[in-house]
Amino acid sequence: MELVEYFPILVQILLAFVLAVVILTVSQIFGQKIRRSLTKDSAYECGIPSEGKSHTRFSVKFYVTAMLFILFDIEVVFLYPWALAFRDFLAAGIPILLPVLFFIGVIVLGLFYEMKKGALEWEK
Amino acid sequence: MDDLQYFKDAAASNEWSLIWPEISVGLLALSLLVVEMLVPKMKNRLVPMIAMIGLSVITVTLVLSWVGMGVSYGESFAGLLFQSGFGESMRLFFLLGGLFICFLGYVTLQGRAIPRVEFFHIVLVVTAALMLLAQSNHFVMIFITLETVTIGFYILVSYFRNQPISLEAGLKYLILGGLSTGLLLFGIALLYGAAGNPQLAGATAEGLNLQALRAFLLNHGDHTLAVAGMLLVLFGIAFKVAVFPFQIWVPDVYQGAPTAVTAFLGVCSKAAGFALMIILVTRTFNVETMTSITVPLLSLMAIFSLLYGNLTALTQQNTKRLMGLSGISHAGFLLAGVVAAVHVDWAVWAVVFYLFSYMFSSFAVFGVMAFVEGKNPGEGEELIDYTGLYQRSPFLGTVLGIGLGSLAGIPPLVGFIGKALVFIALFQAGLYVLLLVGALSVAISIFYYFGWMRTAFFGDGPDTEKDYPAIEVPLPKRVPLAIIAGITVFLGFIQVPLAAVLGL
Amino acid sequence: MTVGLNEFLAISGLLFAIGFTGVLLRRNTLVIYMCLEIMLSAAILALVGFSRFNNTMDGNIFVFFIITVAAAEVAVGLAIIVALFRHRQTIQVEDLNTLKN
Repeated sequence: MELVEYFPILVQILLAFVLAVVILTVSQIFGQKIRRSLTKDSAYECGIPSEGKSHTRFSVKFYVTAMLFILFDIEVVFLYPWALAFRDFLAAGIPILLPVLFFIGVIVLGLFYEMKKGALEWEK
Repeated sequence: MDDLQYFKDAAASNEWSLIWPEISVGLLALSLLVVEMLVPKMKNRLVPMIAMIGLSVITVTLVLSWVGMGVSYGESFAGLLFQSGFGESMRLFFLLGGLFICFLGYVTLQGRAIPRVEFFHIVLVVTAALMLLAQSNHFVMIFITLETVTIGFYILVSYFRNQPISLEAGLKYLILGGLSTGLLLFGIALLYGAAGNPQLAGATAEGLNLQALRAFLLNHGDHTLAVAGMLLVLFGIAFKVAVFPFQIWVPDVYQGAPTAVTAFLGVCSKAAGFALMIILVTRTFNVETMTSITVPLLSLMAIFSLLYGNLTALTQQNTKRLMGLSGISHAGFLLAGVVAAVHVDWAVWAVVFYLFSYMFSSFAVFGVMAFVEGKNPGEGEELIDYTGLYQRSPFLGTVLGIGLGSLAGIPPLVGFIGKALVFIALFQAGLYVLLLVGALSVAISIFYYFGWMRTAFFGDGPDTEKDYPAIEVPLPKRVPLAIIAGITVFLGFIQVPLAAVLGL
Repeated sequence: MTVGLNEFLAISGLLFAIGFTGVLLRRNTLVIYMCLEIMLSAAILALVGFSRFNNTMDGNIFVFFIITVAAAEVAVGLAIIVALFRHRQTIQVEDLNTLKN
């Protein structure tokens, strides 16, 4: 493997970098110009000043959903090679559908369990 | 098309019946969730019963199948599993372990505002994984089953999620468990890479298969990558079994975890690690170039575990920490047995017998702990809380006495036979230093085990003014404890049944 | 210059060392957890590298399983960390000291 083969990756990195710089510069040049002042920079120009921390925490519900998402997302890792091998296996007469149906069946059972437990209800 | 033929053969050779116990335990675990969904009102009574009855039926059927058809032997699932007498006896071990943990969970979870179904579900899934682990013959299989066990334990250790103490223990176990997984996995990667190196004679494409790996190591056991990989794998497992330099997590995690989980961790997780040690050290890395490293290294680790565990347990006042620290010294004994098994073949069975004896005697002690402890975190866990236990509940006092006596290795209890077998194996293997340290540590361990017994029987604790209430144990809950204690005594006198099971 | 097995192994070893020292030295639990994942990635990289240069498939297949297991571990681990944070309002290692003699 020659290092030359990695040239496209270098081009892509440069492209991404250049694009970011270009967009920022262009918006700076052609964008509306405003005079900056303390009032302009505050979060709300009118009304009461904001209170509390600016870092609002995400709801814990977000974490639950995210964790469940990771778990169900990962099953695709197994389905993808399965789909690739499907035709060849079928042609060779190897049973391939039933095992994966069992696998999905277990996952669907888990999904029903989750729904029953209310883990997917955003508002409660 | 060669590859397709391979899969065709694998599909044609239907070997699923070989792992019916694991499949049944897995389906049982799933059925618990279904039961919870279908009859939510009855779940707290139904689920533990279904789990315990199901496990008992599977255990009995397994033993009957040995009597009827004998033990199968050889590779299956294209080399993923290896059926042997060792694997079968560990299957029985983990089934019995899971069964008793379900009972302990049933006792300790009662009257707590915490979901219960998941506990039994996870215990069953972990049990199934443990059973497969003991028969695995392939690093992928080892990794998947070991991780199923470990991740299950992360959840179980932090099961009391409304108690910071349990969560903290879970986090500590998580970090150190993750570290051990990383070491193990990197070791596997190095072994696989060394074994597959096309420039070496005898390179194998199946470097993850233990038999193929051993064939490679016979020629290249001194290859740097292979040796580094082997060491990393052993260190990773040493974390799980908690032998000397890798034991730091034990007291904290044992103390913070729910008592049923502490018992599970102390007995089944440890046994899983030693099953792996036996599979790897005595079946895979047992080539001369590697044993010249493993034997001195593991001997040193065993010696330090024996001394460290016993010396730190001497001053310990918290019973859960005490069980953890004394567990380190028991791990030292087991590791000594594994080292002996490198030289003496039958020492494998000494290790298995020791595991069984350790299981029965610790379960007797943990069973009593589950009844003595209170509902609040840390309540009823100190040695003082056992003051006059025999007067408060003669039944619990007797079971505790039997369990502790057996752990200390007092004849005629089963713990004595287990220790004697390991000592004989060490003697035959010519490991006299280990033998000496082992004998010394038995002497030390008698101090703290007897201190605990003295508190329980004669109640001369420092705080005798305080009033300790009597503990009532209802009859149905006495039965499992009585059975465990009975086995501990019975096997001390007559070892034939267990020896027959083990094929000694 | 060609990228060979040695480069793969060097990066993999470096990642492993970074992860390992991170676990030992860092004080923030989340960062420690990331370091654990780096260690797993190091093993994955080594497996893929060996698999490619030894012309064997097993390593690549193993990686699928490692990714799945790592995802499950992350889900459980983050759940524990979040639950602990809700109780203690901190995830610094030195503040986790309820378990003492």
